[in-house]
Amino acid sequence: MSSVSTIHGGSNKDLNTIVNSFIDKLKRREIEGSYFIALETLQFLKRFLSIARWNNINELITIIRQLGNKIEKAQPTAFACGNVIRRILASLRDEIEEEIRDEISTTSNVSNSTVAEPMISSMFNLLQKPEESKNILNKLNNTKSKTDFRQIAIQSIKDLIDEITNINDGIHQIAIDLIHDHEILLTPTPESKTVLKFLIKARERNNRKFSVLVTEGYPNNTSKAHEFAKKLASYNIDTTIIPDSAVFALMSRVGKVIIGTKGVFINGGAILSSSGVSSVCECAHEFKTPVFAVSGLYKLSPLYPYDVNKLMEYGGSDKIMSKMDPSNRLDTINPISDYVPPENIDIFITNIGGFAPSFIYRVAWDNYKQIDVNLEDKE
Amino acid sequence: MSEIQAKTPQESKEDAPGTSSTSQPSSDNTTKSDSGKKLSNKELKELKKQEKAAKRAAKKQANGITIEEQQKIALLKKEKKQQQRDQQLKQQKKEQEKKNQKNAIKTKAFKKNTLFGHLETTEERRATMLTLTGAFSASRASKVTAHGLVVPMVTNPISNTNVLTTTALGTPVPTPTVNQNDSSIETQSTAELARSLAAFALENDQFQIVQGMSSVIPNSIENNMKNSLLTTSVKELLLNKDLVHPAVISLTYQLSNYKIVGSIPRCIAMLEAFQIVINDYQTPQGTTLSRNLTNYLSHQIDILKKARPLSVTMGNAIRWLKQEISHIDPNMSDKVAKRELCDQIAQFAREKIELADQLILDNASNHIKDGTTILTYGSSKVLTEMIIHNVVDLKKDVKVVVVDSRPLFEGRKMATYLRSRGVDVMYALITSLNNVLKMPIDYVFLGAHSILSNGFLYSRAGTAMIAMSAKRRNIPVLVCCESLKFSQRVQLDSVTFNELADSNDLVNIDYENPIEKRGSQGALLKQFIKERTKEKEKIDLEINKQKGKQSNSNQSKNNGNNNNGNNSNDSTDQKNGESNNNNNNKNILDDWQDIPSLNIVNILYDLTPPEYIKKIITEFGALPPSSVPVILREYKGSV
Amino acid sequence: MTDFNITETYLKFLKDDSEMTMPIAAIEALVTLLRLKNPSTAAEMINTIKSAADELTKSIPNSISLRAGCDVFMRFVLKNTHLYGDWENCKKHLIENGQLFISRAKQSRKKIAKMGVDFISDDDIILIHGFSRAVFSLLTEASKNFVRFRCIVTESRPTNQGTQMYKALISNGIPATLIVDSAVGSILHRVNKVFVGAEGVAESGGVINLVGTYSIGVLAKNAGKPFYVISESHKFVRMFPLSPDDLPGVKDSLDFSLTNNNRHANVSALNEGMDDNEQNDILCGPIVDYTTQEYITALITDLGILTPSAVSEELIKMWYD
Repeated sequence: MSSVSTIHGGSNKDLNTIVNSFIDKLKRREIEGSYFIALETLQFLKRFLSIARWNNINELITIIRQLGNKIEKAQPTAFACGNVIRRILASLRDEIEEEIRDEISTTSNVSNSTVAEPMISSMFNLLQKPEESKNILNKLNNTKSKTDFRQIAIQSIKDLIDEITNINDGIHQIAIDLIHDHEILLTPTPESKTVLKFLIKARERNNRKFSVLVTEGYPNNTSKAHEFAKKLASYNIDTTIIPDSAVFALMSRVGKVIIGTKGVFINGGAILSSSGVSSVCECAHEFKTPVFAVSGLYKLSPLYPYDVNKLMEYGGSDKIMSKMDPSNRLDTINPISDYVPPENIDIFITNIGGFAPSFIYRVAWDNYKQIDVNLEDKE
Repeated sequence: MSEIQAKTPQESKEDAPGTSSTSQPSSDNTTKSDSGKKLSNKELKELKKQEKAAKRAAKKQANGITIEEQQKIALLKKEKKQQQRDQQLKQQKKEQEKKNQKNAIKTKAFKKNTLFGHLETTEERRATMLTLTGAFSASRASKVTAHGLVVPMVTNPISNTNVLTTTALGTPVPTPTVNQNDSSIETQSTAELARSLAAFALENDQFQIVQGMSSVIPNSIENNMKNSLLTTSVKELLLNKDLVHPAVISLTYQLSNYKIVGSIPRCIAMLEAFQIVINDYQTPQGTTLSRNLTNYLSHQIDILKKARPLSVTMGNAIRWLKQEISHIDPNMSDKVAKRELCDQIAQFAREKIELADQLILDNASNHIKDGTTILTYGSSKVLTEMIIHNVVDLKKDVKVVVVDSRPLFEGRKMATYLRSRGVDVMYALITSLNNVLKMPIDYVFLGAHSILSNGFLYSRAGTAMIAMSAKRRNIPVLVCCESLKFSQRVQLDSVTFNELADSNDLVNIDYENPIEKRGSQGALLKQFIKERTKEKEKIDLEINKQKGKQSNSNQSKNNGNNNNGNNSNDSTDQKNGESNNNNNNKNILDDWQDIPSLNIVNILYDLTPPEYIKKIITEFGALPPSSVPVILREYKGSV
Repeated sequence: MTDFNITETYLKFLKDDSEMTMPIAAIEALVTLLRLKNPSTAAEMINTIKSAADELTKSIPNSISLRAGCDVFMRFVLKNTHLYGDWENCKKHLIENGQLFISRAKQSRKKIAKMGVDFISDDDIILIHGFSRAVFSLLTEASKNFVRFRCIVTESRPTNQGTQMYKALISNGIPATLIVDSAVGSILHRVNKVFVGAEGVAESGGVINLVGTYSIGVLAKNAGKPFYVISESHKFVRMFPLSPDDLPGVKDSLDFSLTNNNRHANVSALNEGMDDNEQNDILCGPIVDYTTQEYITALITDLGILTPSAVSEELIKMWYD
C-alpha cells in the first residue's frame, strides 16, 4: 500500500481505511458466496475509484493492480474479487488500445504498416518486427488524455454489475436444452444459487418434469442441502435427499450431474465450495454420466491451478467430531472446498454459452488481458 | 381425569368379550387365539378392534343401547351428539373423526421412492412388526384372561404416560434364556412360566406398551398395511404365530431395533437363538425330528425376516443348519439329536467365524510393515482386530485413516477404539475422500457384508466410492472377509437389491449426537405423539373453557412424553410453539413427510464392482474377486 | 551462388550454436539463403524458399522440428506478400534481423522457464525423458528460485540424451538419478509429474518427441500423474498424425528381413558381450513417436500455459487468419 500512497498524497488515509475494512470483511467471511463477493468488490471498487487520485492512465492501472494484489493476497480463495478487478483492467486496457490506434491514425501515417496487425498470431512473434507501440504508450503517459478514464472505469463496473445480476437468465436458456423430461439429476452443490434458480426455472417456465437427487455434503453443507431440497420440493420438483455415501450406488440411475462452481480456472478445472464434489464427479466419470457445471462468466479466472492444495480451504474439526477424549484426540480433516479436474467435467454452461473445459482458456482470454494475470508488480 | 381413564379400559375389557361373542366375530379373535381359522380374520382389524371395543363398551355403558345401534353410532354425526353427555367420550370421538379425515390425506403422504419402490421401506417393516406384536400380545393377553386375570386390553391413548411409567418401574425378570434384554418376552416362553409370572409380567412387561400401541398405531403406519402383498404375508405369519419360539421373537425385536448390527453378530445371535429353539423343541407325534425340525425352523426364519432382510451370513448358516438336520439319523433319540445339533452350531460359529478371523488376520498382517498407512471405511470387526494385533502385539508403526459417513457413523466407534489402544488414527468423512487420498496411503482395507458370486462386494453404502477412488489412484484395495459371507447370488447394481434404512435418520443434522439407532417403538411413539398433539390442539380450540382445562392437563402430559421420547417434536403448525418450546434443535426437514415431492433415501449397502478390488483375504487365503465362485463350488458343499 | 547448400548451412548453424534449436536453424538457413540469393520478385522469393525448404526437409532424416521452422517462415512470407503486398519491406526485415530471431528464440525459453516455474513445488520428484533445452532451462530456473526438487532421468535410448541431461542436472546442483527406459513403469508411482520436451507440437495438441514419450504418456495417464510438455511455440507444426508412428518422413522402420547384412553379422555376436554401437546396429524402430493430446495435461509454452486445444487454435489462426 505504501506505493499507492505515494501516488496520491492527500486522500490515502481514507483509501487505506476503506481498503482495509473491505479486506477485513472478506477475511471474516462476512460476504459469502462468489456472487456476493463479486458484487461487493465491484461496489467497493466504484467507491475506491471515486476517492482515488491519479495523473495518467498508467497510474490508474497501477493503483487498481495494487489494490487487486492486496485483496488477492489477503483472501486468496475469494477468486471472484480478482476476477472482476481483472475484468475492469481489461476493459481499461481495451480503451487504451483504442486510443493508441486513434492516435496513430491521426498523427503518423508512416508507421501504420507496422501496427496495422498488432497480433496476427502470437506464433509470429518470433518473426515480428520490433514493437513500436510501447513508445506510443509511453508518449501517452506524458500527454493528458482526452478520454475520461474514471468515467470509463465506472461505466465498465456498472456494465459488469448488470452482467452478474442477470447471469441466471443466460444460463437457463442454454442449460434447459440439456435436460429431458423425467430425467434424474444429481447435484452435489446445494449451496449454489445458480443451480437452484436454474432448476426452478426449468420446472416453472418449461414445465419440465424431472427428479433431483441432492447429496448432503456432510458436515459443512448439510443444512444448506436440506433447505435446498425443501425449496425444490416446494416448487413441486420431485426431490430426494441422499447421504454422501449413496452416490456410487445411485449413479447408474442418474442422467446428469449438475454442479455449481465457485471459480473456474483456465485449464477447465473448477473449485467448489462444497467438499465431496470431486468424488461425485469421479463417480460420474466412471459411469460416463455427463457432468455439467453452471457458472457465471465472472467466476472464470485467468489463473492456472498450479498447486491445487494451495487453493483448498479447511474448516475446524468440531464439525467432524466435536467430543473427543482430550487425552486421545483424533486427527481429523475438514476441507470446505473441493477441486474438480477438467477431465471430470463435461461442459461449462455460462451466461454467454456452453463451453467444453478445453475451451475455457479462450473464453478467459477474451475477457482478461494476459498482462494482468499476475497482479504482483515485479518492477 | 386419570381416575376415569384408569377405569375405562378395565371396564371395556370386561365388557369386550361379551359384546363380541354375541355379535362380531372379528373381535372374537381378541380373546380366542387357539383356532387358526379365526385367526385368519384378524389382519387389519387387529389394529383397530381394541379401540373399537373400548368405544363400544363405553358407549354401551353410557347409553345402554343395543348392538345394532352401536354400529350406527359409529357414524360421526351421532357421535357428536353424545359428546355433550360425556366429556371423556367426546374427546375420543373427536380424535376418531380427525383420524378418519387424516386417513384420506395420509394415504397419499406415505411415500415410496420411485427408484426403490421394489424395496421394503422401514415404515412397512415397522407396520409389519406392529401387527405381529399386536397378535402376539393379544394371544398372551387372552391366555391370561383365561386364568381369571383382568387385563387392560385397551389402553386409552391419553393414558399413554401411565403406561410409560409402569414400564420404567419394571423389574427384570430372571429368565432361563441367553438374551437378557427382552427378558419378559421370554418369560412367556412356556405356558407354565406365563402362568406363574403373569401378574408380575403384566406390570413390567415391555409388551404392555406395545399392546397399548396396537390400539394407537399412527395413521400413517396403519396406511402401510393397505399394501395387499404385505397383508398377505403378515396374514400367513399370523396363522403360524403359535409356532414361533419366544427366543426368536426376542431376537426379531433386537434386530428390528438395530440392537444387534453387523452381519457376523447378527449371525451369531441367530445361531444362539436357534440353539435355544432346538433345546426347547419337542417333536410332535407321527413325525421325526429330521423332518419336522426344518419345517419348524422355517417358521422362526419367516418371522426373523420381518425384522430385517436376512444377512448373507444368516442365510448361509441357515442353509447349513437345515442340511445338518436332514442328515440326522431318524433313529437317533430326540435328546441326543438336539444336543448334537447344538454342539454342531457352536462348532460352526467357532470354525467359520472365530478361527476364520484369526486366519484372515494373520494373512492380512503380512501386508503391513513399519510405516504403512492404511485407509479403512466404516467399522469392521476383523479389521479392528487386525490393526490392534499389528500395532499392539507386533509393535508395528501403522497409521490408520478411518473414513466415515452419515448417518450411521460406525467409523467413530472404530476410530476412538483404535485411538484408545494407541493407534495413530486419522478420522475423516467420506466427503473429504479426495483430500485424504492425496496423502500417501499404502492400502485400502475394507470389510464386507457379503461377496457375491460374480465377484461384487456388497457392503456398507460408500464402500464402492472408496474402492473406486483408490483404484483410480492406484492404491490397492483389499477386502477382508470370512468365506461364510460368500453368496451364491449375483447382482449387477446397488439399486436392484438393497436394504432401506429409516429415512428419519437423515433428518437430524447434529454433529455431536449421531442419531441413536432407533427401533420402531421410539419412532412410533414420536409419530403417535405428533399426531396426537396436533389433534389435541385442534380440540383445544373447539372445547369450551371448562373442558379446556382438562385437555390442557392432557397436553402437559403429552409434553412430558415428548421429552421422554428424547427427540424433536415435529409439527408444521406454528401454533405448536408451546409444545415445542422444549426442543431447541429443530431440524429443517422435520416435516418432510408432509411435503409430497420431498423424499429421503437412506440405503444401507452398495455394490463394488470386482475391478476395483485387488484381492479378497479369506480363511482360505487370498484370492482375486474372480475366484469367488471357485470357493463357492469347492467348499460350500462341505460347509 | 549456386554452390550454396541449404542443408549444410542448416547443419552448420546447429553445430556452431549448441543452444540453437532446429526450427530456428532452419529459419536462419532460409534467411541466409535470402540474403545470398536476394530474389528480385515476390514470386521468385517464394519459390526459392519453397524449394529450399523441400530440399532441407528431404535431406535431414528427422525433419519434424525443422519443418515447423520452415512452416512459420513460409507462412510469414506468404502473409506479408499476399496480404500486404510489401514483400520488399518484408525481405528487408527478414534479412536485416536474422540475429534477432535467434535471440528471441532464446528469450522465449526464458519466458517458458518463468511461466513454468510454478509447476514445480518443493519435494517434487520429476520424471524427465530426453534432453530438451526448454525443460532444462525450466529446471535450472526452478533451482535458482530455491525450489527443492529431484529428477528421475530416463536413459532415453537409443540416444544418449538421458546421460546428457543427467550430467547437466548434476552439474547444476539438481539431484538426479538415471534409470533405464524400461523402468519407467515401475517407478512411476513415486513420481509427482512428468516433463518432456518436444520435437514438434502437432495440430491436435499432441507432441512429437523422442521415442518412448508415448509410452511414458500412457503410463502417466494410467497412474494419474500430470504429464507436461515444455516447448517453444515455434515448434508448433501443421501435422495431424493418427498413430504414434504416423509421421511424415518416417519410413516403415521395422526391418524383418533376414538378408540385412549388417544385422546378420551381428546376430551371431549377440550372445557374446558386445558394445552399444554394435547393438545399435541391430536395433531398428523409430526414433521419434507421437503422443496424442489425451495424454497431455498441459503444454508450457512461451504463449502461456496451453491446453492441447489451444495449440490447434494457434495453428488455425496462423493459417486461416
